[in-house]
Amino acid sequence: MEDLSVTRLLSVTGLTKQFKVNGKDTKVLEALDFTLEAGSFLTILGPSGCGKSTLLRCIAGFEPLTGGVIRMAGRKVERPDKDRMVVFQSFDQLFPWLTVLQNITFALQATRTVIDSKARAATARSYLQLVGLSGYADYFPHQISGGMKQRVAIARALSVRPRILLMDEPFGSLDALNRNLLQEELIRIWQNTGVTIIFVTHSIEEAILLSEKILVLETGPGRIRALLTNSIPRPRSPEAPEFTTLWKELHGLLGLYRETGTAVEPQRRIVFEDGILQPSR
Amino acid sequence: MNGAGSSGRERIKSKTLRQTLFILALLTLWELLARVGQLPALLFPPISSVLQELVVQTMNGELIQRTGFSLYLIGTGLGLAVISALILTAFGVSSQIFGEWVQVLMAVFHPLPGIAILPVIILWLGTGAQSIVAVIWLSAVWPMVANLNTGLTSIPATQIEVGRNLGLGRFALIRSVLLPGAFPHILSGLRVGWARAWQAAVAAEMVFGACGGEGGLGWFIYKKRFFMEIPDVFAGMIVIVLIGLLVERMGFEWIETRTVKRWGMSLS
Repeated sequence: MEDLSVTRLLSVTGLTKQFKVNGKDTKVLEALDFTLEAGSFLTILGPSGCGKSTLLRCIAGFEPLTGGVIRMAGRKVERPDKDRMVVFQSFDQLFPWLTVLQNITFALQATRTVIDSKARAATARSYLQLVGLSGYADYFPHQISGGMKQRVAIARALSVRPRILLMDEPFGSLDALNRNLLQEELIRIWQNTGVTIIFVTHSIEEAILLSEKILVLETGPGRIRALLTNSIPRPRSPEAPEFTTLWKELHGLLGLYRETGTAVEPQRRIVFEDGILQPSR
Repeated sequence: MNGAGSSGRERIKSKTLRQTLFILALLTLWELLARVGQLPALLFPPISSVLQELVVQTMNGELIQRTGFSLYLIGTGLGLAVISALILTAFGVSSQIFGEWVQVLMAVFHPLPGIAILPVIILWLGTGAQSIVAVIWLSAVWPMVANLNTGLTSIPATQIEVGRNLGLGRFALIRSVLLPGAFPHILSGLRVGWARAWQAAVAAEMVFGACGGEGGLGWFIYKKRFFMEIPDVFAGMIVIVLIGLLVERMGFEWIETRTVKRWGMSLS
């Protein structure tokens, strides 16, 4: 039998994570199993406090696991690495003492992605162009808007050529207009670069709009409720009937949506085979 | 950008002009009070004679030598304070127990004016320059440790995580993320340390005067008062004020506009 945990880009096996809360061990994540293929776009969807950010931080290597194992191309994840770059929600993730361009060249230098300093600047500029900020290279972070900061953070993360881009509600602090713009841009970047993306969100719309796969987490302790494949053709529009169908399904899985007075049976339509993402064609 | 910059510069210019005019007005008032008023010239000399003494004492080299000596003591004491503040903080952040010790030391020594320790210092180290340096060091190190600590704890956790994500090791993280991140507080710690060092130096010199024939500005002021050469006393004070202004304007503000203000990291 083929060992999927080796051939898949990312495999999570039996992942359990507990924290001490007021001196008591509290399980945040329990027995999570899933794998991810290279090039896919996965969203992790769940209510606040279900541990979706914790899961992302575990994959990033920021949190020691209580149990289980995470493998990246077969190798055990034990610490942060540039092959898994994180884009955070907070606007202060850029270094304020470096210009927009220097934030990227610093990353290129620290990771030894580009050694020559002239080539570094050129590479940094090309990534700024990718996120549409060519004209802002010499601005300091405090001189640009929140949406622009998130773009720079995305450019910086991509510039070191990670195998997975981990995004922790990166658009959560943006206004609706900017959020839509950046969502569209992220899809374009994903299509152009082919980078694998794991994106944490609590917005059902965002999950449907962006991703190919949706991992639904339930709360207390965080377990996988479902792994759905989202094959709605792009460009996706909230008006499309498939969008509404999937929205209702996800709402039901999250225990939010009630039809004719009773909760939708959550186990009804789970697309979940052996903890491995399978297209549900 | 250009227009805003130049109008900002003009605003600074006009502010400096207003402040200079205000100082000139005060000096004129002083001169008038001293000349017209019934104040004894011995205790309240006119500013003109003070400025005259300032020139005389500068030309004969005494003020320059005294100032140089004070600055040398302050430089040594401050330098030691900066180094030991960095070491204490480095240990404080790498070990919890040591961090608690530093907290305790800070709680004990921070409220204690450096000059209050002087009698004990004299007993231990004698009345030489080393005692003044010790008092300066003790006065300046604690506010710097306190500011350094605040600076380090105020760095957003995400910035440190970005550094770890980029694979920065311990020292690279300190140099490239922690130090620049804490810089606004480091700068304000240096400001407080500098002010405290001056106070300690002048006060200590006044208490035990010249050490080995060489004394600083505090000793100059004290000696001149002893001989009732009051214009010289004021001249010494003016030098202290001028150095303070110079270091603030040419030193701290200069650094601030090129770093903290440019980065949008101003504390106030």
